[in-house]
Amino acid sequence: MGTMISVKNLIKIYKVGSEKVVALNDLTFDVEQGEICCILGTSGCGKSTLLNMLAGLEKPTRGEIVIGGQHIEKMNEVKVTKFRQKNVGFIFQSYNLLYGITALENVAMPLMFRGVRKKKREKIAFLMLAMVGLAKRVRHKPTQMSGGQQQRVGIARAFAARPKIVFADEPTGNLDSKTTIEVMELMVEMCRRNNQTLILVTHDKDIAAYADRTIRLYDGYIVSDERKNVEIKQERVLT
Amino acid sequence: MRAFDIIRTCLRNLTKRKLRTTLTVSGVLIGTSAIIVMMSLGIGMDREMTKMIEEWADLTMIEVYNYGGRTDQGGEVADITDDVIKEFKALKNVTSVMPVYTNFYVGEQIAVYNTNGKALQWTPLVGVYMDELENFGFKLKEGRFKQPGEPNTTVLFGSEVGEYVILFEEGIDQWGNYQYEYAERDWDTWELLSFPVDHMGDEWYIIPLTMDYNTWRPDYSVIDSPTAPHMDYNEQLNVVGVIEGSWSFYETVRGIFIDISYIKGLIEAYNELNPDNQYAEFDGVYNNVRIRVNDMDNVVAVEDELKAMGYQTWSANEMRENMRQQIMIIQLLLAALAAVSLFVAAMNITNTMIMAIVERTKEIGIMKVLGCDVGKIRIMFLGEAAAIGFLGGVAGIILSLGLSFIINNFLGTLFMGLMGGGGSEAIRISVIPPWLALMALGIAMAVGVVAGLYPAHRSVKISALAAISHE
Ligand SMILES: Nc1ncnc2c1ncn2[C@@H]1O[C@H](COP(=O)(O)OP(=O)(O)O)[C@@H](O)[C@H]1O
Ligand SMILES: [Mg+2]
Repeated sequence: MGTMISVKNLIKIYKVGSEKVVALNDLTFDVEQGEICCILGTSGCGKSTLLNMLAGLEKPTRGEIVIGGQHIEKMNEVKVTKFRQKNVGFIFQSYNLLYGITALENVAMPLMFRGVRKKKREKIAFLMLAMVGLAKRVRHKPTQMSGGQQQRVGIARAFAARPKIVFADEPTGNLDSKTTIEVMELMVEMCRRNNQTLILVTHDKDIAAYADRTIRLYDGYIVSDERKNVEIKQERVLT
Repeated sequence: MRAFDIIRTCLRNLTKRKLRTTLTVSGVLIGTSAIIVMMSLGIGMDREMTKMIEEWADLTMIEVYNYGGRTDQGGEVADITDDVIKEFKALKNVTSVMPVYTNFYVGEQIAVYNTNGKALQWTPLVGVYMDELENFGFKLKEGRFKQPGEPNTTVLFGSEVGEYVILFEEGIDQWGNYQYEYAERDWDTWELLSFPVDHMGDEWYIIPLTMDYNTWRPDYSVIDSPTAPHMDYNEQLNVVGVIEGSWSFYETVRGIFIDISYIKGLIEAYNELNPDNQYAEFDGVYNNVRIRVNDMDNVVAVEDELKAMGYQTWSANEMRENMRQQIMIIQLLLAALAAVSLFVAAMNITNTMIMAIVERTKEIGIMKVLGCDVGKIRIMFLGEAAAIGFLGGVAGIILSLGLSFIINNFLGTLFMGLMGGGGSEAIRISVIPPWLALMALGIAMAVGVVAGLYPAHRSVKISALAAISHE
């Protein structure tokens, strides 16, 4: 198994007025292909910032992000969008579904961007929705669904185009504990099936239990990085 | 992303906001139909005018005169001789040149009579190049044109020659008048029904006359009088055809066409017989020449060349051009008015599209995050704007066809009534040729695209991250 994501000396500094906020402070780590990697930390520690940077939605202030051999930080918007289209799936805390179209069309959307024909992509989308247990809801619009169902649509959409990497930012943040378990199991199962890499951002320690590896962030620093009970290396120790 | 998917997405977004789309499309509809109807009025007016002028005028003919004056270079204007006519003929787009010499009147200086004792009246003797007639575009009502090599007593009659004849053999009555006969005319159609003579069947003669100073009438008694010197010049005419007459060239209706060389001899004979009433000898200079141009659109250019040479010209086309220019000015003014409404429609489209983008900010953000190409987003919004233009354009064409129908069928007859014309004739003052409809559709779509440029640009500039984190 090769390295999927390689982050080197990643720094992100926000300027708010004259003040500087260091959101990410010199992060360096690799993620293997097929790994389910949890990024754990309290609110405001920089988890989302890291994820957005990895997905090319924001540019780092300094440092390198190499995914599948390509430098994300050097790409312009057109290239990075193309990159996401081909390699990346997304799951959001607030689902971010399109509410004017059906569940089926939502799931088929990443395939549409890739130029897959309507018939084929709707078939794939249907199978994906069936896999997440929404076969009977394919023609429903997201507005007619519960939060758990919407997130399952979100998961189906993220995996529909079989991306190499799926980013999930607090995917269970809006769900109750029972639904959280359902959704987490579903995501992990989906990932395992095609040996996809999952970067899972959460503030919930229980969620981290589903991951192969947990990177803890605190105030922009990595404070620990452990594989299922095995500590890989300690980046920094807070004094 | 496939083109078909882009179109589908555009249409979905348009149909989702039916009322707003309808209102925006209506703006384009009004603008488009305003332009079409205004332009159609200009086209219709131009066509009606051309048709009207064509009825009584020959639009590819130029009349040339020489009143002296100066050429553009300040030189002396050359007399119009056979050589100058050759120069005229060498001009670009000129197909034929015809001198017209009409000094003699049959019934005044000369008589043309048949063996039934009937002599023609009020008939100009038209000296032309007989061998050029066909090439000049004269049409025959019957018979044929003169063949080269035939004697110069070969003539063609105008279509209504012989409408009125005198019976010269009966002699004059106590008031000095000859008895006469004339053709019957249908006063509705202005057609002549029957002639007192048979143009090609009768045996025709020509003879110079002398004025009788007692009656101030030419003296017909010389005909068949063996002692009269006039009989030396009496010659038989060979009428080979009758010209299709047109009032735009009066002589084709009333005149007798004869070779110019024959007229030369006739003047000499007349002067010999009328020592007190001499006619100017023909010195090879023409005062009136007609020029045929290959197309009415080239007439102005040929006229300009002739004017540069110092000649005066007249053409029905010149008048048509003047009227046309006036119509065009009116048309442009009307089109400018219409363009204002299209401009308003364009702002309306821009406004609608900006609203759509603000509403769909989050959607656009999600699409970008999921990998929708930035260019496709731009095309999607441009496509939406173009679709509004297209729908408005199509609706505008349909509406203007309806308006045009109403204008032609109701206002048209009203208009004709006001003009004092007969209401029976169909007049189309609004004409929508296919090119106008297509052009209007093109303009409507272009307006849509231009109006969509800025909103589309804004949609591209939306930050994906800001859009998705925005609640
Ligand atoms: N666009 C921004 N401008 C300024 N500061 C920001 C911006 N985005 C995030 N931050 C700051 O960066 C830090 C990390 O934020 P974030 O990554 O959203 O935290 P998390 O997702 O872990 O809750 C926070 O202090 C936050 O205020
Ligand atoms: Mg966050």
